[in-house]
Amino acid sequence: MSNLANPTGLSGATTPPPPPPQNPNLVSLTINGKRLTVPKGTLLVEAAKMAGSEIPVFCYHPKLKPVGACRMCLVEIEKNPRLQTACTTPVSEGMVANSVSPNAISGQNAVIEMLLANHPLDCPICDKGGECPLQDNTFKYGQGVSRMQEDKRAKDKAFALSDRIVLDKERCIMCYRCTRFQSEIVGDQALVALDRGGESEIGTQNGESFESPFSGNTIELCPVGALTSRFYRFRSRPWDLKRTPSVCSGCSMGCNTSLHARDGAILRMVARENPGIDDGWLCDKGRFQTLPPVTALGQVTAAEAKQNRPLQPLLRKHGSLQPTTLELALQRTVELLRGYTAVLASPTLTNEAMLALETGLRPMAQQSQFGFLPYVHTPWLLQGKIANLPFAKKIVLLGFDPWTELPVLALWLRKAAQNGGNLVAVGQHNGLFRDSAAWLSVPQDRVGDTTAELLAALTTGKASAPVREAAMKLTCDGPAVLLLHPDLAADASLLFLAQQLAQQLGANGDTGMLGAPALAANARGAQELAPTIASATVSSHGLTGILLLGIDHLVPQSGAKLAVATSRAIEPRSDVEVVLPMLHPYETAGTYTNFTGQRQALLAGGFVGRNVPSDQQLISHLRTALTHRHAGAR
Amino acid sequence: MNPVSNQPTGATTSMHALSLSTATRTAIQQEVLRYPHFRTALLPSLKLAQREIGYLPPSILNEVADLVGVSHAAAYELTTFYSMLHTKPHGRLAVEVCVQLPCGFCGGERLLKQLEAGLGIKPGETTQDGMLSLHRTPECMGGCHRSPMVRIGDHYVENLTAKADVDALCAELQAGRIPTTKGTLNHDCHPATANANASKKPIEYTPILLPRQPRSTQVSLAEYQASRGYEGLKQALQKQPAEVIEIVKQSNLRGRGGAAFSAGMKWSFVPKAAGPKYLVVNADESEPGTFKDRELMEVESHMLLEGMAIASYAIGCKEAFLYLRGEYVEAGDRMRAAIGEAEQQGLLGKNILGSGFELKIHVFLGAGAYICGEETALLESLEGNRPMPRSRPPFPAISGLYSKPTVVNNVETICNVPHILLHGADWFKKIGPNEKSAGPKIYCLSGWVNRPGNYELPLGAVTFRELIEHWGMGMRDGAKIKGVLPAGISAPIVPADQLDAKLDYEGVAGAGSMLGSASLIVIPEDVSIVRAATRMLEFFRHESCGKCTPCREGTQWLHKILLRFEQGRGEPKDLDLLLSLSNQISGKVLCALGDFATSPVTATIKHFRPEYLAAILNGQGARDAQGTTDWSQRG
Ligand SMILES: Cc1cc2nc3c(=O)[nH]c(=O)nc-3n(C[C@H](O)[C@H](O)[C@H](O)COP(=O)(O)O)c2cc1C
Ligand code: SF4
Ligand code: SF4
Ligand code: SF4
Ligand code: FES
Repeated sequence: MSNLANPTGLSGATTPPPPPPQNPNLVSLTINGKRLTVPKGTLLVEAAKMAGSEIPVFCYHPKLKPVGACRMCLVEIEKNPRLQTACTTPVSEGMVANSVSPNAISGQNAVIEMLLANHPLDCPICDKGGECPLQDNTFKYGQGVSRMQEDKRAKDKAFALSDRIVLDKERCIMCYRCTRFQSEIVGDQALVALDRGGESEIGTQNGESFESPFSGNTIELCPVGALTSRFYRFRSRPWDLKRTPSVCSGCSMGCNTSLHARDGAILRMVARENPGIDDGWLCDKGRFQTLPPVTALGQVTAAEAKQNRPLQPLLRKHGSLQPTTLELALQRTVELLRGYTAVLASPTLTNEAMLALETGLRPMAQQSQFGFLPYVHTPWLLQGKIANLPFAKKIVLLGFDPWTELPVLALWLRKAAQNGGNLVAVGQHNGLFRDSAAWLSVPQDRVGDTTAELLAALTTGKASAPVREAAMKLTCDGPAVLLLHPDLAADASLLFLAQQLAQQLGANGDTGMLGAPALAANARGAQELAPTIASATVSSHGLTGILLLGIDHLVPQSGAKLAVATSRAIEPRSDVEVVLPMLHPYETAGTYTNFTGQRQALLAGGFVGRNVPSDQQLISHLRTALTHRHAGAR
Repeated sequence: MNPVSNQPTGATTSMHALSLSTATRTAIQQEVLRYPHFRTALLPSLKLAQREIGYLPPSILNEVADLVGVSHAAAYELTTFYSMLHTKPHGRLAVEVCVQLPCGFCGGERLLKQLEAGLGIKPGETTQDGMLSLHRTPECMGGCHRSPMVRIGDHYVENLTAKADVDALCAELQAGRIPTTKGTLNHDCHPATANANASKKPIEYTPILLPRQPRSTQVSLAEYQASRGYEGLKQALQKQPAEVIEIVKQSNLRGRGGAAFSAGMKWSFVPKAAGPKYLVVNADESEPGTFKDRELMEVESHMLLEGMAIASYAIGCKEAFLYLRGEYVEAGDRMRAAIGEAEQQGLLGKNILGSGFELKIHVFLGAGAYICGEETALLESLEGNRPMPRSRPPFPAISGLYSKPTVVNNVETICNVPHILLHGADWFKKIGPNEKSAGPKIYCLSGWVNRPGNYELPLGAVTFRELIEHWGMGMRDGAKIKGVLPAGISAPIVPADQLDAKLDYEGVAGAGSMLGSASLIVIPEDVSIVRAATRMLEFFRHESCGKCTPCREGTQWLHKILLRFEQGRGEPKDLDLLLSLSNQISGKVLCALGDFATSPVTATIKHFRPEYLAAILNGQGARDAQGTTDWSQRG
């Protein structure tokens, strides 16, 4: 060990920073000759952006804690003999930093050379090619020669981390973005760094799959082509993609997305940060499971071909479903809706479709029952903004596990817990168990009793020890959040207790959040724009015909004949009489209302042919057909 | 060598066990509750599990992870990082032979060959019955003064110079007995016993930190108290904490772990506000050629405890940690025993000496990773995380263990503290010629000298040459000195013509190197410098944590090039490449390890370029003066 005392700042401790400037919250500094004033605590790498200088980075990511691992961002700072990493250095008053001095540039060259020493350089066959920071930085900051004559390290090139993600261990540059995401943002440490030194690599417990509801984000965070999506792999080059802003249809969180399509086929969906909704993350359910089936593309695999959706209307003739015209299909649908029938709509339809359903179609089909599948009505409409969540100090979840129901909401609640908020979960499942101050783990049918006990603990103090302990965590000051599972809200006495508890905690929509959140993608839109339909319960007994609108799966066979309007492949079951092709939400323009009541626009990100109507168009076609029938009948 | 009756731990358990015994599970559950944060229990729990099963197969890893409350992947992460944890079956007794400098050229390689022959297995192999496995390790294990040495299970067997001893050792092992190191004697390194043939003794000095040299048994509490032990603590408790800090500051005590930062100053950075604060004593001692902290802990355990109590009182810490390298099982056991003694007498624990001050000390063992000596990596290790250094700021004094204010000091640094409190700052400053860096210093002398060992002398009172000749009793076989590595293998080699430099920070810096932890490895003229450099880089390549690109990639690259030189496949242009790559690492990485890793390359090329050129030109690679191509004939 050698004597590396300060000023290198490597060991021991140093004196605190010099006296602050006039405004203690601002700091003035010079970067690459440009003077500027920035808020105290700003990292040099961010200050440089403000000064119009780009400092190259790999491991740094604004949402993750700085680690200073890759060393790409080396800069020279006056009075400091050692190059410093701009991503870990907070600005200080009078600092003079230079990222383009010969010394800094030689540092950047060195890092690039070291990174490439063992890198396979298989850009031509790499998914990341064309959108790869390593490629870009090598071009801008590297010297273009390799002096490495030893054999490169050989490692696994296509290691299946899970059924969603593949790892190329040779391409990995050990920036720890993926592992930091799983430990800092998700908290499950589902992905870690293994081994050490030059043998370091990313992985899971030997043989276990990388399972986390948020794993897909690591693909986006990876600055090289080391983590790739098994769905998107080898499907396209970045420059061939058309990118369309949209909103996820996986749940009512309303995460913002960008749809990437090639020749009209949507190949992947990535995050499009909305700081008030998704914080830049998507969950795997949304990212991987909501895309429309790939069609119209040469590279469709056999498995995908099987799930291919109908692109033209089908009608049952001589026992099988056969292509027909839209008119005939609509006509048959209208016939099916005579008598004791039902129209069941998906809550993932757009707001425009909801309105058309409630005010256009329903009045024309008075004898049919209308309803949503799943049922969407909540008797306790949610109040409060997502932006309030990180500041919540008391959080109560009653029978509601956001981890699986509204995954990205769980990340916000985790943020609150990290900021010192106390989370108390009551119920059977609690994906946020690591971050919970208390978890009263009871079966769902005991949530009511436990809520009563929790309320008693807070008011009279009479309760069992674990409940009292949990209640203790809720006695602090600060904004409160109380969320009740909408299915449980149907129980009036539990609803009453939950509301009382919310009141006891001082929960309000201005500073916190309270209510029974709508869960399906546009369930809140459904309740707001189609209130009659939303609050109706459909009795399925003895129905003769059912129209399914945008519902992914058939209802159980019951004797009723089915008309199915869908964007997915359907099972050609014998009770299916008509199939009406419909656009997927990602292929239509429209709006969604998320669980907090925020309305957001979807744009058509994919294209499957002119003849397929959107949900809204289809409803209006149906209305027209019904009108004709009425006219005919009259 | 005394055969001991206790079986190799866990040997009675079935190798096929897929789950832990109730006893181990209970022990793990206790670990989880022992520390301020449950995650700290992860590493000790993995070690407990391995102790029972012999290695850590997936089912066991998962069981431990579930008991501690971390993800399965997190348990695997640590297991793959630390070299003492194994995911594959491993001999019940690992027989590990150090081949790093100095052991490598002092008989380590010879010993390895003898053990191969005697045990009938090659390095990396395990005997058919699964009992023994043989390992060649580039990691030094802190037995350099008694090299060649071997670690067997948790025990050290040292001074294996005689063939008869090696034969006896093999016989013991094959009979299923573990020979122990208990009873291995220190060389008599008391400063009073100098070379009788030396012309003149440079100084007279009575040791303070190792007053009982050449003792190797532990000093009991009673014995320690008989020599005014714990009186420094009594003095301290009568003062305000701030006064204690001031005294230590005044004494100019500088850290002995390498960076030489003022101890009192470091303590003074700890915020005064209430709240948890931690003292962490760094006993990782993994620098090749360093073995002083081991002797301090094994012998003068109470001196360290008293120092820890005073330091904790000064900074307001109620829970302190002693972090030992994983190999120091014996030292750890002795420290735990001493803590027990001290707690019984009210010298540790609640209400110490009736003052109201309380202190709990955790003894925590690592699991084989040099980087854990770096203070922030050490803190990560304590927190149960992958031990990679943190970037600063924040400094540990502000945000350290569990993000709380933390002081990290070396064992030797802390052992000075009781004496300072007892005798005063002025007394301390007067020890040695230089008031600015004053006090006693233990020099770890190893390599090709007649009497290697820990020599305590005043800082800066003697020169390299005096230390080697008067106390080290000169060179073995009258050999000439090629050079001396002054700070383990982490600082530039000081060539033979610079050995009149004084052994203090300034003196060694004047000779173009650094004193660091003062671990002097003496390299004789006939040893190939190319092989020595290759061996040193093997260490750094093995120990780089892999966080920083230049260190992770660069140490591996440098080592690969040096291997070519060693094998006679170097090219003249490679010398420039070696220097250029060193420059690309040094100063561009997060912790000092990356910098350390380049000095074996740059300094040896600087002073011994002709040897590198010869290794190219002769086409035969690294050759020792006798023409040998390895060190298995030496020592
Ligand atoms: C790679 C590396 C290894 C180190 N190993 C040790 C060690 O084994 N023991 C030690 O006390 N300090 C070691 N240090 C220095 C510590 O980081 C730290 O400076 C020291 O423990 C502080 O104690 P001191 O001020 O009492 O010297 C090491 C530093 C580095 C960079
Ligand atoms: S897989 Fe990608 S994100 Fe993860 S460490 Fe490697 S390069 Fe970084
Ligand atoms: S949380 Fe909901 S909206 Fe967001 S990505 Fe997941 S499924 Fe989509
Ligand atoms: S310099 Fe090397 S050992 Fe130190 S943090 Fe960086 S990679 Fe790890
Ligand atoms: S971006 Fe700064 S060290 Fe990686």
